[in-house]
Formats: sequence, structure tokens, C-alpha cells
Amino acid sequence: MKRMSNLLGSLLGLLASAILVIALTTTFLRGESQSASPLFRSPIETPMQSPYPPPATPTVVPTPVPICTFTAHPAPADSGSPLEAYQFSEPGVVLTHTSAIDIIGWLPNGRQLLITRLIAGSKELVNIFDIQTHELKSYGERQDSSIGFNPKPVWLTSERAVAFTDFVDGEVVLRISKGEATPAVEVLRGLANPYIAASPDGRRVIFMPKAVRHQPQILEISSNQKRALALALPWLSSQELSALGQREGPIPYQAAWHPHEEQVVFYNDTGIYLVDLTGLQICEVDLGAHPRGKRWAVDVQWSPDGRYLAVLTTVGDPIVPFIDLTLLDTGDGEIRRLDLGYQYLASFSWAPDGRHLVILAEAKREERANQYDVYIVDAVTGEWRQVLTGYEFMFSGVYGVAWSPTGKEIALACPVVDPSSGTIAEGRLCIIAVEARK
Amino acid sequence: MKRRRKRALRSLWRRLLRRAAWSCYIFLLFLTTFLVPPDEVYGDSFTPPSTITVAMHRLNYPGGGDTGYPCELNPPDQEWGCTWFDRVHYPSDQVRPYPYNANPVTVAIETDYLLDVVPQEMGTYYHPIALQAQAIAARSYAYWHINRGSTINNSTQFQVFIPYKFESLQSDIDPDNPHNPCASDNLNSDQQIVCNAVAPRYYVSYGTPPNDDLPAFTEFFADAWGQTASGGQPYLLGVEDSISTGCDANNDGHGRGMSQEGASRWARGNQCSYAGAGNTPWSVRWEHAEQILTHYYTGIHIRDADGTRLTPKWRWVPLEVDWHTPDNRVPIMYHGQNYDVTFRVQNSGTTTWPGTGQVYLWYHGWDQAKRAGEMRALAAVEPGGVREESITLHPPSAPRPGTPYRLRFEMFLEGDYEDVGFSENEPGRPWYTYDVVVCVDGPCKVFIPLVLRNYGR
Repeated sequence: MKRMSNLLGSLLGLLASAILVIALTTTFLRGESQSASPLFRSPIETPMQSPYPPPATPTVVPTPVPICTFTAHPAPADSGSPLEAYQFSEPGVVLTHTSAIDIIGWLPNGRQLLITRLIAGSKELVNIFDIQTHELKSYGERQDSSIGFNPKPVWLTSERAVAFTDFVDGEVVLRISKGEATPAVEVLRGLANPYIAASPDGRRVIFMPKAVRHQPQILEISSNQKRALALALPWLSSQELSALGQREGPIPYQAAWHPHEEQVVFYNDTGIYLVDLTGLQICEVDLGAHPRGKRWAVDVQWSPDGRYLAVLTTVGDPIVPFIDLTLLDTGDGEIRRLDLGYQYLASFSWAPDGRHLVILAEAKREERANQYDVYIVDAVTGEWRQVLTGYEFMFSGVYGVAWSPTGKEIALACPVVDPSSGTIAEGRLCIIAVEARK
Repeated sequence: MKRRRKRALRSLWRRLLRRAAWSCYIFLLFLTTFLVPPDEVYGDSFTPPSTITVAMHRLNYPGGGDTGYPCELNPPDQEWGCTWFDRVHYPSDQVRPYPYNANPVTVAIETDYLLDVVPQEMGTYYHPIALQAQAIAARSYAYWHINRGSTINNSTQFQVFIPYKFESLQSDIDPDNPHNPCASDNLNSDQQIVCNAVAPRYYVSYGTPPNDDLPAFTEFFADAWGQTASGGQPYLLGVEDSISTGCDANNDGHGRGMSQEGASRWARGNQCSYAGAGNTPWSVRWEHAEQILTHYYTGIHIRDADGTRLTPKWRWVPLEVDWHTPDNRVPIMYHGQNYDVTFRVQNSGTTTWPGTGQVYLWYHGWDQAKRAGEMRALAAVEPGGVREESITLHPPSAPRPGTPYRLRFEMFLEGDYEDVGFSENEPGRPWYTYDVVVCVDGPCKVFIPLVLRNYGR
């Protein structure tokens, strides 16, 4: 009996080994066929409940990274109003402050705004502002602000909390705050840079660790567990950089998470990469050529439906010669480029219809220094229209703009400038009511 | 017989009229040159300053726009614009805080301000001569604002001035002489290029006596296709920029004044503004910053640190040379045959070339004879303007086949006794010629570049 059970045990063991071998072989073969494929299909249909990629050893990224290809999906028939249908109210000041107010974005309820306010000594308050009640809630204080670079705090929907980075003793730390009742908690130390991005549900935050500044890590908020993606993004040498027409850099990676899928766009001054988190496939988004070098992304935002990528693009080293807008339709891979007749485009924000954007363009410096003009752009047709032409928006492009999820308001900074010093005398937050006539 | 007499009379009239026009011109020239005192007698209304006061602001990355937020002193700011080595782009051990103890800050123009401004406004991968022109333009721009009493800041609204930019060049070497970085012994090649560009301390002036030494508002911009734009100042006139019509040329910036990439193209003699952009040789190359600056800024003068005028009034630059050969190279020439060459020349001086043929293109080399009057271009050319000049070359019989001849082309001004080339028209203020080596009666025995595109004084 004992011998029988031993024999059965051995047989089961053999069977299990055989299954393991077959599974491993299949996995490796599939892995090989994937890495051999130059194509990256996007959008990729991914399960809603996505597991973390388990391996911690960085995958060797193919060199060169394959260029993304996009399968043709026709654009939705009617996804918004024509440009002429939009009407905008006068900007109304809803909040003032002794220094600059930076607009981060709307909360999903379309009523509250995540903002930061500079205070003396380079500190910055993280606030949520209710545009109806004008209630201002504190979500912590950054000891060392980074205005000008805009490493933005992020709203974590699931946690009803704000995550933000700070500089402490030369280190970048990540803090999470649930509001005034509970002080901000430092959850992570040793980030490579202050840029973070949150998953659409707010359960995860992606960041770059100081140890390997091009291997992204994901922090699970509820368990405070961090996990490295088994993927190292390209980090170019100075020789490779000079081939792109650049001498400076590379600058730290930033990320933008797809609003519905397990895809993240990583970008810095050397490239913009689309990474599928489920299969850990990577491809490079081709932003097009320019005589002065390779175009790179300054800022990236997915449209709310995830169809478009809006990218502020430029070339070369700072001071860059221009910043324009590149719109990538991931439905068919079509690229549209707009400069609206300006040298520098600045902040922008998608309308909830996923078709229109509001964008601030820097007026010609020699004529109207530090003033910004407001435009709305139709991503489908590439048409644009200047709005609110009678107003002077000083420094507004530096401090952000946000179109509410209801589509009915646009928030933008409208500070008052001290003419003698050319600095901000009073920070202001303006709300513009938007009406789209059908 | 009658017909012949009529023709002779007509010819006589023509000659008389020409002589009369020329006499009037000489008279006017005499009035302006001798009765109006020379401008160096004036030219003392401006003393080049040694320091500049700048309001320092954090800047918007990567465009360099103003954030309207001043650099903090306590603790010293670590944001971009207040320092090049900011804490977002550099690891904490490499961050260097804002280095000054005041804001606005007053800094030395030559040993601090320009060393950070020049490489920021124009990459050191552009041609060193173009960087020299850039340094002169940047200095003049700063002088203009100082003279005007403007409050300037460190953003793109004026000139971008980010502390430690000079130190960041190439391998982030710290000069061993921080008070006078260019006197350091450990500069890298990029830093040396910047120091060489800044060293002459020249500036651009414009004006009428006694204010003719005042600095000019030397705006500059990235690039323009084929033509720059006019506006704002009498010396900011749109000029033909024929070299910027290919390779990496495009429209970037406001278009007024010096095109930075255009400047580098002229200095390289190439339609590509730097080596990495490609290689499309152009028929001319300018080897002096003065040629670049007088091309882009109409009717200006270059002055040294003492305010002494360095440039003559009669100037020219060749924009393009057509040798009428398939590859536009200088052909091997044979005696007994004629060779046409066409120049597109710009009046880069301060005086209008009269439309009576007294300013003309000619050359030294094998034929010292004056150019025949009836062949001269008769279009008047105002400063900044352009016209075509054609010459037919008659090579001599060479002592042996393949003898190299150096031909020196330049514009000449007809005088009563002798015609004088622009290169020696004003004693002490030479101007540049266009030199070419031509092989006569066969290929040259030793290797000589077909076109030297050389400009000697």
C-alpha cells in the first residue's frame, strides 16, 4: 500500500513537472514571439482587474524601441458641439491669495478644485477649493515648492486623498493627505524626481525611484506596497542625446495614466513611450520629425475617453525654440500638429467630451510680455478659435487651466501683477462659465 | 556723315550728363565727409558699462518664460532660472542654490552675465564666429537696456540669464578662477568657445552724431527662411538671407535682427547651421563677426570697449556667387577664353551706393585694369539692399600649365584719380574681400581647394 502510494506520488510529481515544463515552455515561447514582434497594438483590450506584473528584474527593452502602431478605429460619429456653439462668460474671481495660485485640476464631482497656493519662504499649501461654497480645505503643506515645473499633486479617488511630493533634506518624499482631520503622512522616500501619476481609480501611484531613475515603480496606496515594473525605460547616453540634436538631459521621466486601461505613457526629453502594464509591452510614440532634432514631450494628457493623446511638443535643449501641440488619435494613429500661430503654447485641458481642449498660448513677448491668450481647439477637425479676447491673462499659462468634468466651467489662474517689479502681486483663481449650444 | 555726327553728339551729351551726376555726388560726399566732423570726434556720449542689474525670477521650463515669482534668498532658491543646477533635474548632491545675496542683483557684464547668457541663447555647437556675433549682439542688447534705464529680468522677455549655465557646459567643470572664469586654466572646449566669443568686448552702435556711439537694440531670433523681418528700429530692416533656404532652415522666432542659425550658416559657408544638421555647402563663407552683424543690422557700426569705431562706412558682403558651372565650383580657366561670374552682393554699409555706376565689383589677381564703365550695374543700392554684379574674367597665359592665381574680389568706389577698394577705403578701418584660387591652363599641380572662400583684410 505504501509502495502504491509512493508510486502514485511519483507519478503525480512527474505529471506536475511535465505540466510545469509545458507551461514554462509556452510562456517563454510566447515571450520570444512577443519580443520579436515590432508591432504594438493599441489600445489594447485589457481585463479590468489587472494583476501586477510579478517579475522584479527589469526586462531588456528592445533597442530601438519599436514604434507604436495603432489599429484603425473610426472616430465616434458625433462627440461634441462645434466650436462656434461654445459661449464663455466673463472670468469671475472666486479666490484671491497673497501669492501665486496653481491650478491642478478638478475633482470628479466637478465642484471642487485641487489647487496649490504659494506662501512665503518657498512653501506651498495644498488645498481643495469648492467653487460654490468657496470653502477652502487644507490637504497639507509642501515645504519646498517647485513652481515652474509643476510637479502636480494628484487626487486619489478611492482614498479621497491627495498625494503630493516634497523635498526634504535633499530627498524627494511622497505624502498622502486625507484632509485637515488627519495630517499628511509620508509614505515613501527616495523618489528620483517629484513627478507622480495616479491610476484612474486612485488606488495606485506610479513614480521613478532614485535607485534606478528609469525603472518605474508602482505604489499600492491601501497596502503601502511598492513594486518595480519589470521594465527599464531607455536612458540615453550623451552621445545618443547629441544624435537627437540635444546636449542637455536626459531629464526625469513623467507619466500619464490612461483613463480606462492599464496603459501608461512615460515621457522625457528623449522619447515618449506607451507601456502596457499587463503584458509589459513598450513602444515609442512617433511625434514626428523636425529639422532641429527629435520632437519631445513637455506635457501629456489623455483625453477623458482615452482616444487622444494631447502632447505639448518641442525640440532641442532649453531654452527651446517653440512649444506646439501634437494630437495623436490612438484610434488610427493620425497625428495633428497645431501651433495656433504662437511660438509657445502653455497649459491645456480636455473638455469632458473628449473632443475639445482649452489651451493657453503665450502672446508675443515683445508686444505683450507674460500675457496669455485663450483658445479652444477641436481635436477631430484641428480647428481652433480664440475666446475671451478682451481680457489680459497675465502668467495664466504658467499656473494652469482646467475644464470641469461637467463641461460647464473652466478654471484658470488670473493673477494681478505688480507693474514695477513684474512679479505677481496677488494670486487669483478665475472661473469662466461655459455654455455649449446644441 | 550726319548720322555719325549725331551719334558723336549724343555720346558727348551722355558723357557730360554722367560727369555732372558724378560731380554732384562727389560734392555731396565731400560735404558729408569733410564739412561734417568725423564721428569719432563725437562718439563720446556713451561709456560702456561694466555691470548690469537683473531681477531674477524662477523660469518656466523648458521655454524660459517668466513665472512672475522672484528667486528666494533665504534659503537660496533651488528652482530652474535661479540656478541651472536645479533640484528637479539634478541629484541632490549636484544641486547649486541661487548664488547671489540680492535680488535684483548687480553682476559684472563680462565676467558673469555674458558668460551665462551667450551659451544659453546660442548653443556652443554653432560656429564660433556666429557665437562671437551672438556675444556682440547680447552685449549691445544689454547696453541698450542699461542706457535706457530699463528694469530687466532673467527671462526670455529679455535675455535668458541662468546662473551656472557656463559651469554646466560639457562636463560641468568649475573654472578654477571663479572671479574671472575666462582666466581659468581648466576650461573645457565649450567654455573656451564662449570665452573667445565674449573676449573682444565689441558692441553694435547706431545713431547720428553726437549720439552715434549709442548701443543698438540688437534683437535676435532663432531662424528665418530666406528673409528677415523689419520693425521697431531703423536698423532692424528685413534683409535677404539667401543661405537660409535649405537644409535645417525654418521660421522660428520674431524674425527681426540677427538670425542665430543664419549667422552660423554664413560662418560655416553651409546651408546647414551646424555639423549635426547636415552638409549643404554654400558658395560663400564669412569669417568675421562684423560681416554677420552688418548683414543683419542695417547701417550700424561695430565699436570696441572704448567706443572707438572699428567698421568703415563703405561695406559689402557677397551673398552668393554663381560660377556658371554645373556644380558651381570655380572652373579651371584657360587663357584666350572668357569666364563669367555673377555675384549677389549686399550693401552692408551706411552709405547708399549711387545709381551712376561709381560703385562696382572688381578683382585683383591678374588684371589690374579698371572695369569698363558701361558694364557696371546702375541700380542704386541703399544700405541693406542687394544687387547682382557680373564680371567676365580673361585669364592670362600662365607661365606653366596649372598655375594657381589668387583672385581677390571686392567692391570699388570710383575716385577722381584712383578707384579704391572698400578694403582700404578708410585708413585704419579695413573691410573684407572675397578670395578665390583659380588654376589657369590646367589643373593645379598641388592640391588647392577650388574655392577658398577666404576673406583677408
